[in-house]
Order: sequence, then structure tokens, then C-alpha cells
Amino acid sequence: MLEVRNLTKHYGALRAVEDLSFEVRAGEVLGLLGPNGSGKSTTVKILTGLLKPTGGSVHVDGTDVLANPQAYKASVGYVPEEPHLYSYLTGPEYLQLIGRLRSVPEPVLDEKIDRFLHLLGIYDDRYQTLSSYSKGMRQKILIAAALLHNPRIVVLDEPFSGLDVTAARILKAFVRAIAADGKIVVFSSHVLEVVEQVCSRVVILKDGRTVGHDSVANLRATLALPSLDAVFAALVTEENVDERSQALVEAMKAR
Amino acid sequence: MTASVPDRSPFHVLWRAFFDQFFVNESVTSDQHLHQTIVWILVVVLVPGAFLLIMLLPEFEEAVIHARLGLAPPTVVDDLLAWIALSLTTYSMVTVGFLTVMAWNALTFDRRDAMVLGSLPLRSRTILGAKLAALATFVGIAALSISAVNAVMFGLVTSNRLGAVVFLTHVVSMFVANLGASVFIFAAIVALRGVVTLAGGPWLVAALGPPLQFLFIVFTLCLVVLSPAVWQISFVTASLTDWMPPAWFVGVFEGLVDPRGRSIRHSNSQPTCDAPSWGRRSRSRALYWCRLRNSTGRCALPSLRPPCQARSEPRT
Repeated sequence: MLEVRNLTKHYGALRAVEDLSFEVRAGEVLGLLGPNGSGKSTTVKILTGLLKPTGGSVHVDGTDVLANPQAYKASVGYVPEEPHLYSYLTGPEYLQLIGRLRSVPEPVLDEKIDRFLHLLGIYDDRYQTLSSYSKGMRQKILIAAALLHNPRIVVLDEPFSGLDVTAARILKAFVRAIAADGKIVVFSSHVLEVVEQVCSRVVILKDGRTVGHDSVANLRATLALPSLDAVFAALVTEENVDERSQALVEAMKAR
Repeated sequence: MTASVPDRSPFHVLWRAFFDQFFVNESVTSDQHLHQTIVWILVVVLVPGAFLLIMLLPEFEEAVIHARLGLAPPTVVDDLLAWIALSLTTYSMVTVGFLTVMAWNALTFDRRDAMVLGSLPLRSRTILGAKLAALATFVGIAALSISAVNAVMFGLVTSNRLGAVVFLTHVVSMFVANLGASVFIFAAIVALRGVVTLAGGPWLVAALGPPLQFLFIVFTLCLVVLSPAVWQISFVTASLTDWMPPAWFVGVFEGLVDPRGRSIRHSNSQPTCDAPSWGRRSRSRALYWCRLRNSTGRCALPSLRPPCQARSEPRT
């Protein structure tokens, strides 16, 4: 089980995350929801070991991850929001690099890479450098890179960004399947309907703090609202959406 | 049954990845292209050095013949020897500098490295060590190849008829001086990159790369195209050359060629009218002449000495 206890992250005077606590059990998909600047990405980066928290802790099966960060990172697969990869490499070369750095045995690695490329529909583009890949193709490479070593914990930050409808549908089902296989999955996204379809529970963040934490069904029932979108609007959105959109139209037309 | 491929350590994998970054760009698509790029760079880098020597050495041979015939003072030979050493050291420095600034973006870590490697189970010291090893390999290949070619060619020509010991001394001395100069400029540029990253951030680093690359291309072209004519220009005087980093490493060369050269240097403290003042401090200048004279078994001191040189103490 992944436990986040009183997690806090400050950047100088800015409090990006404040006293955040939740837990994710094996077989569960936890959704992180929130507007821009709510602390989702910071939380994800702490969960993947990219950032150290200012306060609080992250435990896996009762062990603080900072006690052995390398062992923890070895058990995590991370799909970042931004497609940072070595774009001078081809897809297979990049996956080979990541697989080797994760100590995946060579024969297994080559076979896995071929299978991932086939299944993700990018096998025919294997000789092209990543710089020539579309955003969706890069996203598929990032997904493959995160899963090559069969991680126990999977952290996905906007994983469907740029994917076509078919690929997104396949991967939604895939996320549910890996959870059913006993993985711990953390899923951060802006797309409410995807979160609603994929996640068993959600943590809704606003200004670095938790404003809602429960299953989607319970949140809807508690707030007597018909959808996650309505729940999100009730918990996070303070402004009148119609009013704001009309103001944008006026700004666009201004001469 | 297929043979199992030995797994490589993360350090080795990272070292290779960082090393490749010095040569790759978005159009390089495979190891084969990478090797072609490396070969192309080496050829481009080494050919101007040979070109430089071909331009400089006839002048040197001519000076030797003139000195033997008594048509020119012996200091001309020593000064030319020092000029060639300075030229080759400058060439090594500029060329390695050129290669280094061409790999400007790969000299230190960037955000992409942090995002790609940060979530992997790698120790900081593994990443840092691999980066340093890649930098060392890069400068090693560049500096060793340039220095070795320069040193051997320099030794072959300047130790003509002086025996194996002098040849080896010249080769080793020139090699060490060139290597030192190359490593110095490489370290200076890497340090500059690090300081700029810390002080100005990624924007300044990105902005500084192209001007530096332009500058070093200009340096390289000027050195090859204008040398040796550049040494005839009056503005190339001691005041200009003394503070130039290559001159520091010519000092290393001179010290190695003649470790006991202080007495020679002191005895040469009087100015000569035909040598630039930088050359007057050359420890090797008189030495070469004396070796040449001893090896031929005849005293070939020129009959016509310029008046100012006549004031000097007798050499050797």
C-alpha cells in the first residue's frame, strides 16, 4: 500500500502542497484532480522521487521511500506530463536506454520493446528519431518506457495527452487491467470523464490542499450532484463559467 | 540457440548515452551515422593541422639552411621553432575549443536529463560519474588525436638529423604542451557553461552557444588561412602574445625540451634585433641551434651578426 502522510512542499514562500494525505491500495486507481496550480504535478513528482517533500512522508508497505530511494524508484513507472525524452534517439533506442538503466535483461528487453511497439502501433516508425514523432507517438513511447520493467507502482500524469481516440480507449482499459493485476496506480488528469471512467477513488486538490477525497460515487451522492464534473465545479470552481466565457468573447472582439 | 548478450552496468550505459550526446543531433538516426559523424569530425579537425604544418615547415627549413650558410643569425631558427610550437599549441587549443563549443548543449546536465533520469533508480554519483567519464572521453579523443599528430609531425621535421633522443624529446614535449593546452581550453569552456547555467539559467546558456561556436569557427579558419602570414604582422608582438594562453603551454614545451634551460634563458636576456620579444624568452631557441651545430660537427655561426645580437653573451 502507498501511503502519503501530511505531505507538504514549499517553494520559498509558495506553498505548492499543504498537509496532503491519502493512501492507495494494490488494485486501486487513485485519481488526482485539480485546476492548474493546485499541486497535482508537485504531488506526482514527489511520488516519483523527482522532488523531496518539505514535510510529511511517503510510505510503501510501511517503509519510508526516502530510506531507500533507489529501491523505491525501481518499483515505480512514471509517465510524465511533458514529453521529455532524448529526441535524437529512435523509439527502440530510447526504450533500450531506459530498459538498460532499469537493469532489464537484454534478451527480455528486446522482446518487450518489439511487443510494446507492435501493440502501441508504432512499430513501423521504429527507425525514425523521436524528434519526428507526433505528440501522441511520443506519449506512447513514454508509456512503454514507464512499463518496461513491470513496475509495482504506476504514476500517470496526463497519460492520454495527444493520443488518438482508439489509443486512448485501449489505454483506459489497460489502466484498469493493470490495477486488476494488483498494481498501485496514481492517475493525474484534467479530463474529468476519463478520471470518472478509470479511477476508483479521487483526491480533489485546490491551492495545494485536499477539498475532496472519496470514490466518485460517494462524492456524487454526498454532494447530490449528477456527475464528477458537477462535483468538481462545486468543490473547486468559484467563478461563473458563463460569465467568464462571455467576457473572453468580448475581449476577442475588442478593437 | 542465441548467445546471451552480457548486461551492461548503468554507469556504462549512461556513459555511452552522454558520450553520444556530443555528436548527435536530430538528424543522426543510428550508431552507423554516429560513427560517420565522429570520423568526419576527426578528419575535419586533423587536416587543417597538417595544412598548418605544411605551410610553416618550409619556412623553418629555409631558415635552417640560411643559418647554416651564415646568411641569417641562428636565433632566427630558434625563434621559428618557438613560433611553430606556439602555432601548433594555438591550433590544438582552438580546435579542441571549437569541438567543445559545438557540443555546447551536452557539456552539462539540463532539464531534459533531469526529467529522463530523475525518476530512474540511479544514484547521483553514478549519473555524475558517467557524465564526467563521458566528458573525459570526449576531450581525451579530441586532444590525444590532435596532440599526437601535431607532436609527431613537429618532431619529424624539427629533429631532422639530430637523432632519436631529440626526436623523442620534441615529440613528447610538444605532445604534453598540446595536450595541456587542449585540456585547459576544454575545462575553461565547461566551467563557463556551468557558471552561465547557474548565473543566467537555460535562456542565457542557449543564447551564448551560437556566438561562441561562431567565434571558434572564425578562430580556426583564421589560424589556418592566415598562418604563417599572421606572424609577420607587426601587431603580433610580445605584448599581445605573452598573455595568450597558448604561450603558457609553449613555456611547458620549452621546459620539457630543456629542463636546464634557465642558464640559456638568462644568457639570452639581451634583446636581438630580429626576434620578437616573446621569442627572446624561449629556452629552446639557442638549444636547437647548438644541437644542430654539434650534430653536423662544424661551427656554423653566422659571419654576419646584427649589431644588437653582437652585444649578447656567447651562447652555450
